[in-house]
Formats: sequence, C-alpha cells, structure tokens
Amino acid sequence: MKRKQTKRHQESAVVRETTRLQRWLLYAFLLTSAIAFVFPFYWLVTSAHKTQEQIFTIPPQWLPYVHRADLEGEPVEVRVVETFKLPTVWADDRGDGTAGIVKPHHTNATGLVEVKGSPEEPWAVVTRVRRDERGEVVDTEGSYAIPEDAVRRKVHLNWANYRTVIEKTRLVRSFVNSSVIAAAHVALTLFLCSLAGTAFARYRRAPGHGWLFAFVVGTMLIPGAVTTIPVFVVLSRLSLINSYWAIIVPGAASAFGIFWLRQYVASNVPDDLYDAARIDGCSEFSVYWRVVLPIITPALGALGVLVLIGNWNNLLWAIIVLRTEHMRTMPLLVYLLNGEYETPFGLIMAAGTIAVLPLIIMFLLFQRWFIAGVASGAVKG
Amino acid sequence: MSERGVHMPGLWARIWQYRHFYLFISPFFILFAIFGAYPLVHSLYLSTVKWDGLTSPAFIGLENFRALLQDTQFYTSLWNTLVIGVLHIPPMFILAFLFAVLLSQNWLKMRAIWRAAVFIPCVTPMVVIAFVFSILFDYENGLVNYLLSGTFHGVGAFFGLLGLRGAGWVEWLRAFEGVGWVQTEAWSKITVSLLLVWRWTGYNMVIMLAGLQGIDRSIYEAATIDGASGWQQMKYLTIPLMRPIFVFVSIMSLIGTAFMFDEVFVLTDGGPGDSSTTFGLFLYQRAFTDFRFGYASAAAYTVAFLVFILTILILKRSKPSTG
Repeated sequence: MKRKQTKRHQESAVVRETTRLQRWLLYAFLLTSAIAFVFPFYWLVTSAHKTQEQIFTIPPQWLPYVHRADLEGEPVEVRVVETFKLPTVWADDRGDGTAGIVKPHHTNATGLVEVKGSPEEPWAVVTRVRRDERGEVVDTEGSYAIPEDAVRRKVHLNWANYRTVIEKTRLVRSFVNSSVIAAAHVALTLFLCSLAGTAFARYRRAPGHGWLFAFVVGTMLIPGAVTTIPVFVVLSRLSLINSYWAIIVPGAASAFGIFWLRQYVASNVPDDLYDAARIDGCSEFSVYWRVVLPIITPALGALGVLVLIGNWNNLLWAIIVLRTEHMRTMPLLVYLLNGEYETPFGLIMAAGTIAVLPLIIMFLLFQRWFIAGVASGAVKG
Repeated sequence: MSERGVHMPGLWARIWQYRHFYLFISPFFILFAIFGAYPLVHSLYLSTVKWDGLTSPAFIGLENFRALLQDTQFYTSLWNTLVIGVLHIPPMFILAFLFAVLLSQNWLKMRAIWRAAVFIPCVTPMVVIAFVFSILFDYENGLVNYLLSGTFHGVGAFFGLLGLRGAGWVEWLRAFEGVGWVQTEAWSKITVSLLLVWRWTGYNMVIMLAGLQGIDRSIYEAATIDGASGWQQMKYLTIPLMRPIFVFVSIMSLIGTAFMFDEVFVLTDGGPGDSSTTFGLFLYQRAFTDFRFGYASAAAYTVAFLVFILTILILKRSKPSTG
C-alpha cells in the first residue's frame, strides 16, 4: 500500500496536499467570491452620492463624480446626458453646426446638422447644472454637444441625498425607534431565555420539567408565519398596535433561545457551583444573576447578536404593526421612500447606508459573537 | 441539588420545593403562552372562519380549505416557491460547503477576512439590498447587463474576426442587449434566487464551518496513513460525518424558502404578474392586503403541514441505514 506523508493539520477537515498552483487558484476563487459578496455594499455607499441620472448612466460610474466643462467660455458644472461617436447627425434648428460647441434647442427640431470633428472622437451631450447657495441642484438647462474629453471629471462626495433624506423624512426618529426597539427586544429576550434556561438546567427534578421543556422545543418546528396573524390580533386586542411594544414583546419568548441557553448553562455551570453559591448566602435569584450570567456571557453575546440582526432588519412586522410616520423603523422608512410615481434611488441609497451601517460596524467589532451565534444552530440537542 | 428545610413527600410539596423553578420560568412562559402557544391554537380556529379583522368572524368550517384547494394563485405561489427553492438551495449549499472546507484548510491565510466577506450579507436588511439589486440588475442601465453585453460583444467580435461572421450564434452574441432580470417573467425567479444565494451562503457556511471543526482530525490522519486520497477522505469521512449538519441546513432552507417574505416583496413584489410570487408573499397578500384572515390562516396551516411532512421525510431519509 502506498504511504503518503502526513502533515499535522490543526484545523483541517480535509487532509490533502495542495500544490502552490492549486492554492493560488483557490485564493483567486476566494477573492472573486469575496468581491461578489461585498460589491453590493460598495455600490450602495457610492450610489448614495449620486444623482438619479448618475446612478443610471451608461457606462456605469464606478465612483461618484462631478463633471465640469467650459461652456460658452466659462467653466460650469454639467451633467452628462449621453455620449455618442461621430459621425452622427445632430439636430439643431439654427443650422449652426461647426466643430466646437453646438447648441441644439429642441430634440424634435427641424433641420439637421453634422457636428464636424474626427470620426473616432467620442462626444458628449451635457446640460448645465445650476445650484443654489446650499449646493442643492436647482435646475438644469440647455443642451450642449462637446467633445467628451472636454468634460473634466473629479471624484466628489455629494452629500445632497443624505441632507435631503435626513431633513425631509423622519430619519433620525426612525433610527432612534429602531435602536430602542432593538435594544429592548434583545435585553428582554436574553433575560427571559437565560432565566428560564438556567431554571431548566438547574432544577431538573422539578415536576413537569420534562413536559414543559419538550413543549417549548416542539414549537420550534412550527414556522413563525403560522402565528403572524393571531399575534397581530392579540396585539390589537391589547391596544399595542403602533407602539414599540408591538415589536419588542412578540418573539422575546424564543424557543430557540431557551433551548440553546439551557444547554449552554447545563454544560458550563457545574451543579456544585450552585450549591457553593447558596452556601455563601446567595438567594436563588442571585445565583442566577451573579454566578450564572457571567459564565454564560459568550452565549448571551452570540444569541444577542442573532436576535439583534433579526430585529433590526425586520420589515414584515414593521409593515404590519407600525402605522404612523413617527413610529417607523429604519427598514420601513427605506422601503417607503419608494413612491408611487418614481423611486428616488439616490435617497434610498443614502437612507439604506445609514440603515446598514450600525450592524456592519457591530459585526466588524464583534465578529466572534456573530459567528458563534449562527454556528450555535449547528449544535443540536 | 440544593435542598432547603425538611424534605416533605407528595407532589405539592415537591412543587413547593422547586418553587424557584416555576418562578424563574414564569416570565418566559407567560409571554410564551400569549405570543407563542395561544396564537398557534387561535390560528387553527381562524382557519375555520371568514374574517376581515374588523367585523365579526363567521364560522364556515372547512370552507377555507376547500377554497384554497381550488385557488390557482395558491398553486402558482407554491410552484414559484418550489422553483425558487430548487434554483437557489443547491448552489447555495454547495458554495457554503466549499467555502467552509476552504476556510478550514490550515494553509489559508487571512481566514477572518474571507469569512467576514462571505458572511456580511447576512447582517443587512434585505430591503436595502433589494434596492441595490434593482439598480445593478436594471435591464437598460444596470451594471450587470452592461458587463454581460460587453463580454458577449467582445467574444462575438473575436469570433467574428476569426471568420465566423454570419454564424447565428456569433450574430446573437454581438447583438446581445441584456437579460430581463426583474423585468421579465422568465427571469424574475432567477433574480430572486440569485439574491437568496448571495444572502444565505455565508450563514450556512458558518454553520457548516462549525460542523467541520467538530470533526476529530485524528481520523483524517489515520485515513491518510492508510493511503486514502483527499477525495476519498472527503467522500467517505467528511460528508457522512456532516450529515446532521446537512440535514439541518436543508430543513432550515426548506422552511425559510416556503415562508420567505422580505426578499421577494421588495425586489419584485411578486411580479411581473405573479411570476415570482412565493407562498410567503401570497400569505401576506391574503392576510394584510385582502384582509382575509381566516383564509390566510388556513393557507398558512396547510403549507406548514406540508413543510412538516417534508421535514419528516428528510429526517427519515437521512437516518443511517443499519445499526
């Protein structure tokens, strides 16, 4: 039998010898995939600085730009409407077509003129942009055809979308709503599930212990959608619709939470520890509060972030139970920016960036907890 | 077990002995009863009534279920859900496993960066991402079609230069304008599936990573000494050992796909037409747009039951054949 050399691998699940070429290929694959996963965020952040037209120009703008050109002798800000290549015929009702700047006035004008120039040169149709004192775009006027390389472009972070969305919508209020609701929901869930989880882990001889736990765990198999309508009905009977409580309370008694925390407590808190704490004079609640909680902090962190993600990002519940503008959460606000007649993508991107940022920052800071929270699903009873 | 006072016999005495148990679980169970258990029962009741949420409910027995079985929109939504499930779950599963295996190779550097990149889609609200996707996948001006047609034009021009001009497929390449994505019925499900793969691969990768790390590596060393190749180890060791994880991921994906809402609602709102209306969206529409609470409850219970059956089937199939 052929013997292969073994290498001691620390974490490898597949022991194999890889050639350098294989490794470089795999790195390339990882890099491409990583870019694919992260790219929409890049597009989100850069599009927040673009105007509606800039978002939808072809070729796509990889970075947010501001364009300038010399029109009628003075440098002004312009917007590029389209680009074309010569030879092409261009409409101009004045019949004044010479190389340089041509000013067609109407797109359906009579009379055609050829813009003279080298056939391979790309040309751009631009309009002049007017801004007010604050830098907001007021108007665009005119239509000029100029050589494309006469348009100077510069990377420019345009904060207009952010300004508009913060001033014209109740974005700050929605952000506060989301934060308060998320914090309260996470705190409530962690408290309920850790207290009950500790009780299940500790008092194993209590009558009904097994039945109660099996009952809770059994409901984990039932998809949440089945209870959506009844919970809504309950909330409305309790007059809790359109309040913070409507999103904080339902779901706080999480079957998954209690399942996982019970198991974590059971495997990390030895029975002797309870007795020792009691002997030291702790009340039953103190045992939980002062002894168990510090030990299970990693599990609390992991469960907490999992619950946080679900709550912050939730759209369905927000749509169903939040009715007035001042109660909205961030996802709902972003969704509702989409109007009946048009979709102001620039504003949506700006609001979206604000909606996305907190969790991304938290994720980058507390990666371990996020990963642990999700991976805990893999630990089955 | 901590004990207190005189040890008394009898059930009530034992309950008193463990009174802290009941005390500590009561906050949880009170909320659970109101928002977890009671709604389950109430939902069953609702499925037998006709109710719009405002007027009084009217008992109609199994009429909702009868109507459901004749509702073509219901079947369409089930079909759409099935197609989307088939389109997105296998690629996502394979990718998640591939990444998990890659990320557990010990020669890999910058592990945390790759893991973060693949996982980051999972922390974001779908509503925002769906809007970004609508920009990227726009038919006329989206980046994706721009890149696609650029590539196809280039390839077509290349083959044209080779003298294949006039060939049907070359002409097709050079005239390619873009894929319909969210704007055509043919592609809407595919676009939703793409979004789902993007969104959930990282999540399942992390779960599979945890599973892989739970495998005792000494068995691989033993296998290598016995002469097993990398592929053989994968096939006969890793995959069977990962079976519980695979089952878990499959079941979660199944349940999630059946009832998913956010992605479809914002990206396509079920359209164009109802080509991408999944069951989750169907349910929302019946309950909160049409205000047919009874009907929607019946539908939810029916599909939950179907999913339950499928779950049992998956669990049965995954049991090891002999002891």
